[in-house]
Amino acid sequence: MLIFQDFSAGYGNRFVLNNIDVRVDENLFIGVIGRNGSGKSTLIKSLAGLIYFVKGEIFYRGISLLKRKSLNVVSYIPQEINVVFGFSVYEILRMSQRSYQKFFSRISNSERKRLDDVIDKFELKGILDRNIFSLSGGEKKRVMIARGVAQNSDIILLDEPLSGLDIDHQIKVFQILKEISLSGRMVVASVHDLSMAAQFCDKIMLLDNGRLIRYGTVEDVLTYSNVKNTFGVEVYVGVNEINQKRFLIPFK
Amino acid sequence: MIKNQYTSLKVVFLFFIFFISIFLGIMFGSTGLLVGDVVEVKELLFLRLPRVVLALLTGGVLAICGAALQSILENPLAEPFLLGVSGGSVLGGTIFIVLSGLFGDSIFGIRFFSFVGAIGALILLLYVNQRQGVVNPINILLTGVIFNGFVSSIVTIFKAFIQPVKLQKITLWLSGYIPYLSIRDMLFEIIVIAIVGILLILEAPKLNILALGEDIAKTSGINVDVLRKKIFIYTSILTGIIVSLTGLIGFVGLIVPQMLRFMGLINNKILIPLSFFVGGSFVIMSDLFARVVSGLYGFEPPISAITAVVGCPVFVILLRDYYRERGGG
Repeated sequence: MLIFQDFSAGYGNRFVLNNIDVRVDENLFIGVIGRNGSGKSTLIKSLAGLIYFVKGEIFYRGISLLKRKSLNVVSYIPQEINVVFGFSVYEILRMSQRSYQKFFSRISNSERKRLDDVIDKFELKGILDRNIFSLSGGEKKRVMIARGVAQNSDIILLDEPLSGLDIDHQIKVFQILKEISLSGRMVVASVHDLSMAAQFCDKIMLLDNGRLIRYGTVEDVLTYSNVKNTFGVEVYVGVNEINQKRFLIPFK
Repeated sequence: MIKNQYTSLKVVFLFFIFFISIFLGIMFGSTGLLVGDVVEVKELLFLRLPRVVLALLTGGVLAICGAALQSILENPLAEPFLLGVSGGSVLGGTIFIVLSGLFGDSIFGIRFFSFVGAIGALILLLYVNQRQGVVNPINILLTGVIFNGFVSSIVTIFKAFIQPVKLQKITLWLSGYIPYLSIRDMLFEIIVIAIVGILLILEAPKLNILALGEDIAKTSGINVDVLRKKIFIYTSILTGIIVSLTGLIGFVGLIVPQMLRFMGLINNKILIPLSFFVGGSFVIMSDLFARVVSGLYGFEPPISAITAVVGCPVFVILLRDYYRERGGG
């Protein structure tokens, strides 16, 4: 269980996120939606332990996420990827494993298995020895998401993972994240594409102006009136006959 | 395991150059002669060998500091003399030269004063940076640059008032030189460099992860503030020691790690240790050149002029190829 208790977070001395109070079940793929500046990134970063101006608490399995010293419970994939030096793709993936941090320690079998697993899932075999600088924006993004998934963490946090990905990889990445959530890790991602969120996420957090307006299933949250009230946009909410999931088409 | 197939080849090649430079550094003296009956074994062991060792330490230390600083500051243009410690060291050494009439005149005096200056600057800068709670790379750079600017203006003021002999001495010291010191004279420094250098190299894997971005490093279980502080302290101690021994020898700390990166040796686990040997070779060869010139023409050009004259064109060529490879990005 992930519990937010009257949680506020921000930068400098201004709160961006205000008084979040919610209980979130584990093993879910959670989509965070809202307008630009509504506090999506701040929420993701707060869970990652990267925001220092906070009030209230976040507990994960009874332990405070804010007060712990080491942050290896989570993996975090930022929106912008700024790798300073041109490492190879394999080297970057290798860095996700705990043993990497000691100069002389070797990779263990379970770590190797985790790496092979993400290389396979994210279809990175062909670019493993490529320099990260030589990759396209979308390929870079996939590598960094794969790195985060390979990390041995309980919660995977992604800030707009779909930006820069083609439609094929958008779906593949979300399918992988969905599988991961089913296998017992929690996934929290901020998403702009409401239909993608409706197709893949188990629960949706709807933020507006730093407040959590709604938290619940896709059917509860992604309704015409909720979208109209927060985004100021009129959408047609339909049901995909093939999988009975919702889709949203903005028209006004 | 996927690895760049040429990595080991490159490493072997660079070590080959390293051994050649050591060999040449020991064999050639200011008289331009090879070993033979003219040069006694004594001269070889007690004059040239220590000088080569000092040149190796100077180049090696400046290069590993440059490599580590470029990583923690997330800036490929960082180099050890941006740290305030070099300013502290310069100030200490200058004060000694100015007062040298009072304390007698020895190389040990300069070393002692400039080392104290470096440690003083380190403590001052740590204190200033500490007040913000977190060690911010931009603050480290800014406080260092401001402190160095402050020191250089003080040195300029000193220069205006002192006798020409002392002025010449300061100028010589600031432009860097490799003195003849015996191994025993440098023993303390060698031990400190070995210990701190190894501690620095052991942080290399964490520096790699930091290069993926601060947030990723933090969520990978790395305490980034502690890491930055450690590297700042290690590189400051190392740079302080080297400046106290050989003055300011520029360009090595910037160029050597960059050159290795351009060669595709990106991984800090390889890059930082290798920088030591390549930086060492670079200064040994530059010093050798200085000695040969002094043997032929009777004056010894300042070593930092040589490192800059050789380093700049090499750097420009590498930079051009690098951007071509990265597609202008």
